[in-house]
Amino acid sequence: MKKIIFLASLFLFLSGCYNIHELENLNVVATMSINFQNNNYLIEVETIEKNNFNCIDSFLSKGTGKTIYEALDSIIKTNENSLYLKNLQIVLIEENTFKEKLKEINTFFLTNNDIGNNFNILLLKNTSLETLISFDKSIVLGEELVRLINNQTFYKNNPYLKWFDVLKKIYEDEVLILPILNIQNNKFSIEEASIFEGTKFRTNLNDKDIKNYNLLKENISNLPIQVKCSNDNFINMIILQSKIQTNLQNVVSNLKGKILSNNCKLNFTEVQKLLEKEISERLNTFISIKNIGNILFKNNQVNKFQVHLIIMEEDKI
Amino acid sequence: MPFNILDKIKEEFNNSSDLIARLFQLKNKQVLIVFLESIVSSKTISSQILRKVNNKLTSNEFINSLSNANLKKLKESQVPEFLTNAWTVLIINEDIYALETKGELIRSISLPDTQPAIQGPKDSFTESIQINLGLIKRRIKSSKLLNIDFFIGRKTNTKVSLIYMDDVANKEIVLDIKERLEKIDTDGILDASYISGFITKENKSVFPSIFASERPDMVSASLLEGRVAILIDNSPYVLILPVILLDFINPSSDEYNKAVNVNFIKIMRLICFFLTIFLPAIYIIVTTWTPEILPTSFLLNLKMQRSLVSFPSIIEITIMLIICEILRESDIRFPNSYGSAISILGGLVIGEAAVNAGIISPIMIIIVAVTFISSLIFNDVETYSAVRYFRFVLLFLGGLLGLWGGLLGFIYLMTEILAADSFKVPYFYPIIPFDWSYFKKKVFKIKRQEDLNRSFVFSPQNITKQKGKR
Repeated sequence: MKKIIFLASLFLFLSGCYNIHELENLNVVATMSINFQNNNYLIEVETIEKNNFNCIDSFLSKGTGKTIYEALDSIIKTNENSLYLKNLQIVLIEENTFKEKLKEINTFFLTNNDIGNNFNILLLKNTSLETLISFDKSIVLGEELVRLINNQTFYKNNPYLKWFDVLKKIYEDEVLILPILNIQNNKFSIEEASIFEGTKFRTNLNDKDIKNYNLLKENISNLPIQVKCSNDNFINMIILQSKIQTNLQNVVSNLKGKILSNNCKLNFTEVQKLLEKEISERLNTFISIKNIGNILFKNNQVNKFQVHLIIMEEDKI
Repeated sequence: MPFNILDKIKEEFNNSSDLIARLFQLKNKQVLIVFLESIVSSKTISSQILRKVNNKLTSNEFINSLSNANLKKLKESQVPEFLTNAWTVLIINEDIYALETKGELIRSISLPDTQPAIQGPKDSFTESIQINLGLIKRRIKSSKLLNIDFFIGRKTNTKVSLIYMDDVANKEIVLDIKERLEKIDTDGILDASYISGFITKENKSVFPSIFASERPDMVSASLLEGRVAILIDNSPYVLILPVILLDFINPSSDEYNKAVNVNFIKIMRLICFFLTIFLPAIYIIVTTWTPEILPTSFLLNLKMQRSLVSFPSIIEITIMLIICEILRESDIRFPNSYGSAISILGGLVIGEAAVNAGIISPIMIIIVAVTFISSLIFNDVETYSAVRYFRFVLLFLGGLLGLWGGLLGFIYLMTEILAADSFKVPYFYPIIPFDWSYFKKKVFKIKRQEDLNRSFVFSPQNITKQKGKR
């Protein structure tokens, strides 16, 4: 009996119940933003809660500090309940903060046990979480942004947005593309992305560049392309498949596509040549302007870029 | 002379008020009729003895006229024993006779109360060991069905019968049980549970190692499988042994349904067994230690529900489980007519009122209801108690230490099951030690044509059950 009492008391006193949480005492964080400005970190969090009408309310809290931990602590001190970061859906990092303070941010996420690891990462440009939340108070920002990411054709094919994938790319010095969140025409949009090689920032890509990039990375499905042949006359087609062959100095892109509409009075061979020329020019310009040939085709000095286009007949598609 | 004996009997029974002695005159002698009024059948005494008394008959003619098959001549010392066994003693000078005049103190064969089955036989054991034995022997008409009788209890002298199939049962187990029965030395045996307590005294596990059945078909099936049964006079339950854990989860009444239909139910019962033990602990572990495994929307739902409750989750669930236990206990103890009142009151207390009072959250009602309903698949009280014990152990370990506590509780449960045995048969058989042929028969139900062998554990010397394609 004494042994049992001894063991029971060991359980009671040594277990400590140190990370026991009652659900009602948790502030569930859906979105978190990190911004480094004026030598201080500004952390903003969006906490969510269900109200009696079964709708979700969101609240903003923010704090500053010399480190991310300090900033987070200052939020916790002002809150009655503790912050619950394990179900974090999205982390927004200010574009320049990500470029300059990537090491500190990594250290924070890797050393903090209280943060889940299944969140998405987005870069923020010229805006803050507070602005985003005030923009539309009826929505849960975290959920809305995740929906936005999932609806983007580009990001659907690039599962690099989860934190662990980002981390893997950084530490393996691989190409990392992080989307940038903007507000345009009173709407959230993701039409830009930053491209990194490991921790080094390379360039920003707009929506068109992203399409070209995907074409070269064989990462497309039903990519629409429009080519002008004369005034008011266009050929609309979709690229179904992309296959890249690299030699020492040449890159050949074998594309398969389907013509959707054609106003130009050209025969099939002329259409094919026109499209090949147009796409080839477009890709060559993209590589030369953005200077990312060595990222795309490692160990290849790209001098010439060729496009072979196979236009599929209707019944073979 | 008869009066001398009567005085001794009266002295022996301490002038008990139900000891009746009546003197009648025969042609040549007097006959003294003695019986215990409370246990004899007055109808039998009247028809078989009193109507035969005639002062024109001599004592020999009178004795010869008694038509009862059970007429014995006794020694004086045997008189108290026969009187207590409801015999009527006739004293004619120095000769003492006894005539069986047992009263109908037993109820008739009725439907099984605690082990009902939709299909299959509807009879159940009664308090009479003779009737119970008859119910089994009516099913197994074999000379190999042996029964060894014991009279246990210094005061009660209760008849206990060990019954087994001589050519099927494991001889070692039979011998072991026989020895254990012989060793019992107590004042009284009033029920099967007394015997169960005496012969399993070394078993410290909370799980039962003997199955008490009220169904003659279940006992007969067990005997044919090579197990042993113990019948106890005055108990409507027959003990089956040895048993394994799966016997308590899947009852043998499944035998009367088609295999394909029963298998789903059998698997459901196994799920219920784990659900009723683990569900409260899992709920506490998930909500208080690792809520990150919940989807955010569900987490918010739970949080909203929990915000109405003033107690920590562990207290909340303990309150609910205790209320359910109280309701169950009162439902069993109270007469049936109170049942509906308890149900209504219980439904109100653990339903709307408790939620409105901020004692429990709606999700907790669901958790406790699923736990409790799952536990009701066990109609054996001992198994139910064992399951309840582990439910609380796991709940408190999980509440105190989280996932590690749950794991610790699981290890404890498995250790308890694996370490237990029932008369040298491993309790977790046929999983450990693994026996595929018995496993598929016990966990699932196989076609009757394919059920060719008995288990070698229960019947090592005669495993062939029926001939068929192998």
